[in-house]
Amino acid sequence: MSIAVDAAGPDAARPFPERAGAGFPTLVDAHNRLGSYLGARVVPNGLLVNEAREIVWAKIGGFSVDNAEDVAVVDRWLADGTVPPADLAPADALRAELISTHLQLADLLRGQGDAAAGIAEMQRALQLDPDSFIVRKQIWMLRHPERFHPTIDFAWQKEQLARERAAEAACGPDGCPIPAATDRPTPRT
Amino acid sequence: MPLALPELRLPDLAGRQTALGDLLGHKTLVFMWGSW
Repeated sequence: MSIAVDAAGPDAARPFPERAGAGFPTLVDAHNRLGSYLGARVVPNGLLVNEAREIVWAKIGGFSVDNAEDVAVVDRWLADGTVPPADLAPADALRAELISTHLQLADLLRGQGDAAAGIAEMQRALQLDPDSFIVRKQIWMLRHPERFHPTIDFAWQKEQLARERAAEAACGPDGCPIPAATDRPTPRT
Repeated sequence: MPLALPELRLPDLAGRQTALGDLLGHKTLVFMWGSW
């Protein structure tokens, strides 16, 4: 099975399994709840889950069925139940819950048509875990959809990351202002 | 040590809420991906 980590929900994820003709079920984790639980900051990830619904092995980042080493791990597990050593531990539960809550609120705000406030909530999630590319890249996708469709501009992503890292390094221990929050128009009274 | 999966209910591609655990219970490769 697969889990699409996509803040835009099932509608955004659906074309990809359909195009691939995937014959397995896909769920959509819009608030990155599983990723936050695992402390995963990137995708694609591969998890091997046993009959007791326990993760026995995980590769966080770079898992691919086109990678012979990854396929060999899966094949061996299916054949004899053995897996390479894996450092499996849940992330800080409170932090994971806070991040997911910000992402859930972002979803609600966007659903109400307040895109700027939604992005601001995603920025708050990112401040809790600045190394999360799962959150950072989805903020980019909302702010710069032209860089993701019809093709993903990876060169732009690299430059954008460098720009943001430089800005964040200059902000000091109190963190950066949240542009999406400060750019909001003043409501009329 | 194996790590227990959290109990999550997530929408499927049609938007139907589904318990993650209901799709498991046998040896399963769970592939996490993003369209971005």
